[in-house]
Amino acid sequence: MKTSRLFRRISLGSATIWLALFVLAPNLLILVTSFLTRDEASFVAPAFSLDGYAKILSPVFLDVLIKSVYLAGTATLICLLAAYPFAWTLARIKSRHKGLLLLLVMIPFWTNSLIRTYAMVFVLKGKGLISQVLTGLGIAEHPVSFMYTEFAIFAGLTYTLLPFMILPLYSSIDKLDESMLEAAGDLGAGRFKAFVHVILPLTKPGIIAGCMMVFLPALGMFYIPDILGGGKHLIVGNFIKNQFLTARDWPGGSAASVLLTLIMLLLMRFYGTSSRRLGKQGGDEL
Amino acid sequence: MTGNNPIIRLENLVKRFDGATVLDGVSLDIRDGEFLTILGPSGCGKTTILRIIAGFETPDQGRVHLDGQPLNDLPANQRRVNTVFQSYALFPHMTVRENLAFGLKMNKVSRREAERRIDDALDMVDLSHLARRYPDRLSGGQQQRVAIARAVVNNPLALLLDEPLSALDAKLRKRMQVQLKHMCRELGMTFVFVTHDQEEAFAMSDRVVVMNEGRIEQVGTPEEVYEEPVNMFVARFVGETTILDGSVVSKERETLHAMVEGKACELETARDFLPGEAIKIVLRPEDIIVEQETDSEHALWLPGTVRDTVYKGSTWDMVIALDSGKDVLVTEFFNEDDERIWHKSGDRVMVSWYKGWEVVLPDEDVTAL
Amino acid sequence: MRRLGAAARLVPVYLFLYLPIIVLVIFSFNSSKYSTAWRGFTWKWYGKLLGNEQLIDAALNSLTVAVLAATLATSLGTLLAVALYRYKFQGKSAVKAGVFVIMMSPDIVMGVSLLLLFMLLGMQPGFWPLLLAHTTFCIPFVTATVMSRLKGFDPHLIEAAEDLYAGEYRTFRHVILPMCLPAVFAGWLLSFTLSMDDVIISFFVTGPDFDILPLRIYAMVRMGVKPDVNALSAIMVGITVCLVFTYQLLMRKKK
Repeated sequence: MKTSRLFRRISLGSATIWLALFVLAPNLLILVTSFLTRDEASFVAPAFSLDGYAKILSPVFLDVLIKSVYLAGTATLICLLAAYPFAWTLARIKSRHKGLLLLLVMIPFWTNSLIRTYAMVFVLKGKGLISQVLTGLGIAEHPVSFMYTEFAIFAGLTYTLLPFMILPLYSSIDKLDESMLEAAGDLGAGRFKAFVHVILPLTKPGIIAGCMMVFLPALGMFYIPDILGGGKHLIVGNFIKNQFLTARDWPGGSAASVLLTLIMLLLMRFYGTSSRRLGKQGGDEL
Repeated sequence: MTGNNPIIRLENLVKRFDGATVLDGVSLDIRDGEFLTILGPSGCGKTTILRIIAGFETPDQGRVHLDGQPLNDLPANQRRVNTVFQSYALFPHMTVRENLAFGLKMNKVSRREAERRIDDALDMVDLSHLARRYPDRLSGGQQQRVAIARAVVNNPLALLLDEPLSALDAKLRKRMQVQLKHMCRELGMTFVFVTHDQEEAFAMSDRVVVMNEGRIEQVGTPEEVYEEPVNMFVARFVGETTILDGSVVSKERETLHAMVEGKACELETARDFLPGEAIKIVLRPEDIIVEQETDSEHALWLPGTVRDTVYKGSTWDMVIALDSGKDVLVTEFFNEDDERIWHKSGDRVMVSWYKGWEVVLPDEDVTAL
Repeated sequence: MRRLGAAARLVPVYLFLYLPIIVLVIFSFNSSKYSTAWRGFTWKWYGKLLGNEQLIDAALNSLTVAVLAATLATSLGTLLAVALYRYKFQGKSAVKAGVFVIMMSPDIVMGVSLLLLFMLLGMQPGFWPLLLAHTTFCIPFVTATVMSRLKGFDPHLIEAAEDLYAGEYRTFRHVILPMCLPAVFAGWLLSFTLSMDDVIISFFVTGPDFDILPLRIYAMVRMGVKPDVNALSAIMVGITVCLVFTYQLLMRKKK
């Protein structure tokens, strides 16, 4: 019995303590820092101030925030619209090769996103894939470069994050009971009404999980605007990075991080309430 | 209320899945207002028939008529039939009331009318007090009633029930069987019920359709199917049976002279048999008489030994091993005035049956050869 | 007709996902250095990689951290998954929610928060902070992978083990662990990949003394398209494909 108690304590305690030390504590540090004063010599001075939050209310940051939400939001929407019919078809297809088709989604999901961002350069640059297609079709006379445009950032975000939308959608559509669709039809619902009243609500957890897994990273992936946007388009990730590494404004950077964490918690709460009624669906598996 | 004009007519339905024939020429008339049960072992195609009527499957051949109209090409959402699913298929994101309202909303029933019908339906299944609950907060029996109400509220021409009681415990099942039968009468609605449980089928139905391997074996009232099975499959599938072997000696009108388990006897049957033909004699447990002495009143006495006795409350069941090697199942009903002593395991007894209660069928195992 | 419709919905997405990678791999064999036009097949960029000591160093560093972090995270994450599956305790739902929150939390926040922690603890950026950070963000993924496997098991198996006199440790050692071993390996592979891929968190916790592959690539990629980067990317993609296949084999449901 003694080893049993010991084992129970170790199995539960080790990881919990680890996570408390390296996740909870650092996040509390961020929270505390966001309320401190900026100091040139030692980064922060232990005096209470709201300067950090003043900074994220300043037009400079609000511009970045609005731009980020616009970029990340649009990318999320593009991903959702592209992924839903795809995931639907994939989940309901009856084919011997279904396993392989799913595997083909897993590979990009696992591939280094930096490398995939880099691969996008081949598509967007002058004499790149799009440019060659356009000149080949005679639509454009000279090679066109899409690098360093807003379009490039959308392309990069969509390209790197699309699999993160497909997989949660797939898992929640896959769990959809066929008899739910039959019941909807049996009760007189046509395809459109069945989709709006039954399918959409039942796959909502997957939709929210997918949107979360695209939107949140899209706010933070500073290397995509760096590589494809040429540094012209800043997102929240760039802002936080700059506050910590260049501008040396830790309270400001911390306040922005706190904001990002709050956005995440809000979305997760939304996910929680929507999935509770439907039992556990999607999201918690990868 | 049972009318004679068919509300649903199935003509020569054929359905194959991946090369396997699931329905092999099924024709059936379902009468308006009757409680019809399709009975058969799993994989016999009974659920497929229901799904074809509902519109979830299209037959490879044959036609379906509803109320005189052909409906092969009509999608499920335009057919005036409703299904109670085996899994209930209640929408988890809607309350009980919203589940009931769904079909009415899709069919654009006016709000007022819809409210009234939902109230009536909830009242009928005794769930008015749970109308605002979500399905996951209901017991299995309550979910079942919601599923029925959700279908019935649309006033369908026929209600299709796909093994809807299979997830309930025995007691609740019995109660629901009575309720369903009552509802069918009360509403004057046609019920088409699918089950593999023979007792359930008999408890509720006006008519029973026995199916096997994609074909209809027999259609009739529960009494007809139980007492006059048309072949060995129906005899074996519907209820407990004892089957004795025999061969025909001669036949005069309704009387058949035959050798049964090695002894000569007279049997009654309307069927035609040729001398020398192998036959099976089908007996129900309650048809059998067990005595310690023989008399001349009964057709045939076979000696045997009591092997097991099972007390069942209202009946006393026995298994008797005949000397010829067969096992015989016997059900005796208690009779307080009966002075007979109850037989014990190991007792030597003589076995016979009430004359004329036997069913004589051709031996299909032999004819198949 | 239906198959055609399905193909019409699937193929464009697959093309979108794969075309850029395929182009990249093809160009890693292009003998021309600058032009985007094809100038003949060559292995020379792969050869050039082998001569790049800086890069080899970074790759070895990455491998070391990935193997160690994956192993640590797998041990801790598996224990946590088993504890969450087996025991009832106060704050269990909080721990479960916590695991989920950590999986979802933006990398950038985790990066800067760890930066603060290590500064406060007086740790120099480099190997140790990197190892701690990578282990941390891998643990929840291992826990989730193992949990999803455990959920599929008959809960009576554990009761059976206890009924047959096994204590908690021996139940774990002889019943639970063998049952979820494929998921444990899968969790390790996932952690390894996550560690090899991470850019954002590593960016904040390692320093110039301990360069790692993703950051090296980041520095190279910012300079624009280069043939040796193509070759390196192609190798990494190849490794990923192998890892995914292995992972799928491990997580395949027994029929």
